[in-house]
Amino acid sequence: MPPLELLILKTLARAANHGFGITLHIQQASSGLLSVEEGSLYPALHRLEREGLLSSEWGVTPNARKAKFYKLTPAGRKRLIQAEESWLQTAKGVSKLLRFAQ
Amino acid sequence: MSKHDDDWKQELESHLALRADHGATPDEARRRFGNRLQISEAVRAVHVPVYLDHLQQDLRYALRGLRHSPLFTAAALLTLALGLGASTAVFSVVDRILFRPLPYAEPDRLVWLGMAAPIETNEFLLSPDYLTWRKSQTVLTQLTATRGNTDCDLTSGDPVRYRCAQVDDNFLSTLGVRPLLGRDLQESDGAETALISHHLWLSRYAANPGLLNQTIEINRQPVRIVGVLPPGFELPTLQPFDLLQRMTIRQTSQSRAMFFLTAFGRLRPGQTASQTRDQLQPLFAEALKSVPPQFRNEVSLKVHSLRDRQTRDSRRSALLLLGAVGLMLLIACANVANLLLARAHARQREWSIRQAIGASHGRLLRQSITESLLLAGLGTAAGLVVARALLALFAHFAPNGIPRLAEATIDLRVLLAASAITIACSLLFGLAPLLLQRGQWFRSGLVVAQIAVTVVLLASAVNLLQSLITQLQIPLGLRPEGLLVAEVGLHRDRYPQREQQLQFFEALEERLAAIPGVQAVALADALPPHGRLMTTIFSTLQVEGRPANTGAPTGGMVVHRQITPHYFSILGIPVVRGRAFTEEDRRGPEDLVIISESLARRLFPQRNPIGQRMRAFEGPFRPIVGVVADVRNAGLTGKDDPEYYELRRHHPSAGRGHSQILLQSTADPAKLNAAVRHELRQLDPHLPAEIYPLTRKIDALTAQPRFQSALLSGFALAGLLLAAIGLYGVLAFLVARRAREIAVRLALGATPSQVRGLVLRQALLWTALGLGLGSAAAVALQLQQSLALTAAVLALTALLAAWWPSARAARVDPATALRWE
Repeated sequence: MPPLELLILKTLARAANHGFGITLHIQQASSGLLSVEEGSLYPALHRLEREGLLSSEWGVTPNARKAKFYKLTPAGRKRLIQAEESWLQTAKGVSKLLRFAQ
Repeated sequence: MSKHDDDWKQELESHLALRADHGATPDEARRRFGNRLQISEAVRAVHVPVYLDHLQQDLRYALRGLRHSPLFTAAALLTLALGLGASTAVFSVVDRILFRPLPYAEPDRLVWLGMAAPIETNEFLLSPDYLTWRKSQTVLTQLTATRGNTDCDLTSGDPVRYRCAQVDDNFLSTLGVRPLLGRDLQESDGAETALISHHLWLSRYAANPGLLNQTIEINRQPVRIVGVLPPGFELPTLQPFDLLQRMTIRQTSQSRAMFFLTAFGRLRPGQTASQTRDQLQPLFAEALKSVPPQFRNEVSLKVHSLRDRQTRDSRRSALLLLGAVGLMLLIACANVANLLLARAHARQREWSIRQAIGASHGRLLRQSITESLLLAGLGTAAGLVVARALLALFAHFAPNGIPRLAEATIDLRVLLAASAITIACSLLFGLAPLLLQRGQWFRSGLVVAQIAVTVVLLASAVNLLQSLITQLQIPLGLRPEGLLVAEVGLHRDRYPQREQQLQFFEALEERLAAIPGVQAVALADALPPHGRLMTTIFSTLQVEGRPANTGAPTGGMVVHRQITPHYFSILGIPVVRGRAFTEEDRRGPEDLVIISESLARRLFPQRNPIGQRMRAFEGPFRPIVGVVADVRNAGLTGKDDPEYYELRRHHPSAGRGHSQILLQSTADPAKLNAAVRHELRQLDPHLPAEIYPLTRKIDALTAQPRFQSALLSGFALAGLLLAAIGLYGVLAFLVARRAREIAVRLALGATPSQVRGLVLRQALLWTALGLGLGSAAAVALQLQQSLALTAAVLALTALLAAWWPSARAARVDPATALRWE
């Protein structure tokens, strides 16, 4: 699974959020290391919803703005666990390789 | 679809608002978001695959484009509808005629075989030969025959005339047909059993299975129905029939009659019809021995595939139709191509603008293709409507001669094929020059080609019409107006003896003459110009005192009729020499003969025929008492034969089972009809009769050739219309495109009529070229006589088509046209 989509799923695992909120959260939670381009975010969000990993609902923000809130479906949660494991394995393998290559 | 669009729009707005709340200005927020168009497309692409989305757009755009150019759309749709509709209808009909599936097992292995001789148009086998062949031949796997159809009337209740097909017991098995109910015919069957056709079983007996093994009264004899034939079954001779019976052809001690049979067989696997014919030669040589030696040269054995033989007469008209329609389709294709070309050229400016703001060349091309396809789709739908209408028209007006016409339905494969051809043609012509940048030449070439093809089409139609008119104008030789015909056939069983037959008809003659208003009554065994019951070979005629013709060629056919004295006067046939028959002659001792002028010319080129005596083949010589004018006796399109007339005397030898009765009367036709039926019923209540005016029968004869000519003319006119549309379209387009050039000319001093002349000259040039090409083709097809009329019609049409564009050109306002920069 591409990193952006993993990040989206992880973000939404804690709580439902809207597109802008997801952008903010990724930036803040990664301490500014990662920033998402809106251009890629929304297509990804819609794709994930189309695949059934997310569901969406229109709601109201604390500031009384209308926004489309996304949340994880049960299938989405399952997929997140798989993707996380897969990523961690990849990361371990990569770091082993890098240490080896040194 | 747009639901997603609205939703996304809101989501986008919401995002921007939230970012603005977060601390950016609305402008910054928008800028940070990126290329809204691209992102929106990406989002939309998630929900709908890209190509589908583009397709929708293209379709909507194409539809709008078509609506905005109504003339172009109308012209293109009309062309497509006419071209596709007509070709589909005709192909469906021709397919039905030439390629329809025959209702037999492995029908392509069935053959129609027999001896061909000048005296009989259909191939035949004589019954003794057939019996021998059936027993001893090994060439075909199966051989069967039919004796033809006889009248078999239902005599219980109201008399109804049925037709019984007389066939051999292995007829159905040779054809590979099994009865729907009951059993097949057997060797032991005779006149007392029959199989019933499906349509009769349905119409009269309501498909009641209890009819099996019941008896019905046919010709006042009980006949047991032992089987029901399957639906769709037809005789290979295509004659209509109601009942199927086993034929009796074996010679017994009482009857040594020989019958003419029509024979069919099934080919051995791996053998062809011609191989079969060669292998049957030994048997044929034996059969020839019973033919008189002077005729043996003219008799040959023929073996044809059943399908070929059935379509022999209609094949020519079918192919003619196909040719005409093919030409029309060509014209239609050229028209559509030209229209597309003109349109593409006109939109080049629009295209370059769109390319400048980012549309890809491929996308534009795709749009153009979509538009063409949409047009083709609509045109095909319109063509379907036209085809349906045409088929209904065909079925309504076509004469009965065309087999199975009423069952022709639109073959969708044909429609799709024609549509595909037209699309391919149009696309090819429409796009190729765009890529070749040689639009002008192509367009001119297309118009010239259209005109050339129209010339050929028109010339063929004119040719056919001319020959038809010539045929119909040959005088009939008789006056059919106001005459009524009654056709009466006696049951052989009720009137087995000639005396009885004679008595019946003489009594009938008396009764009919007594009807108030009836001026004269005449009897004949067949009526001209269509009826010829009896024919003989010319060389069998002998004149007393001359040596007989031996070893001479047959000399063609001679028709002869048995008539009563009033025949000539009722029909208005003038007596040229000698006299007509009289009532006294009927009581006279010997048979008399009257001959036609053409027969007199052939038999007595130098001498007066009156007083000479002649006979046909054998019997006593009979005196010739008169010569009458020729009457057409081979239908309206055949070649007439010489003729002689015999008198129906008050003598048993004149007894006949069938007769046609002519009535000349001043009475109201309906009342006369009723009176005739009344008299018939008085004599025999079980006798069916057909009563109709003679003119109706004669008109029906012209139905076939008239229908064909009408059809061909229809196509020619349609082709002409299409070519005219094409010419008009291209000229109008040219005028619009070259408006600036025309304006310059006008500004420099040219008069409007000079400008008009310019356009007309262009049209004339194309027409002349097209005429030239087309005439060359027409001459190659031997249609030169029709060229004068064709050229005149075409030139006139071209002039008309060019008039409006030329007037438009003359009205160009230099001021506005030059400002159009």
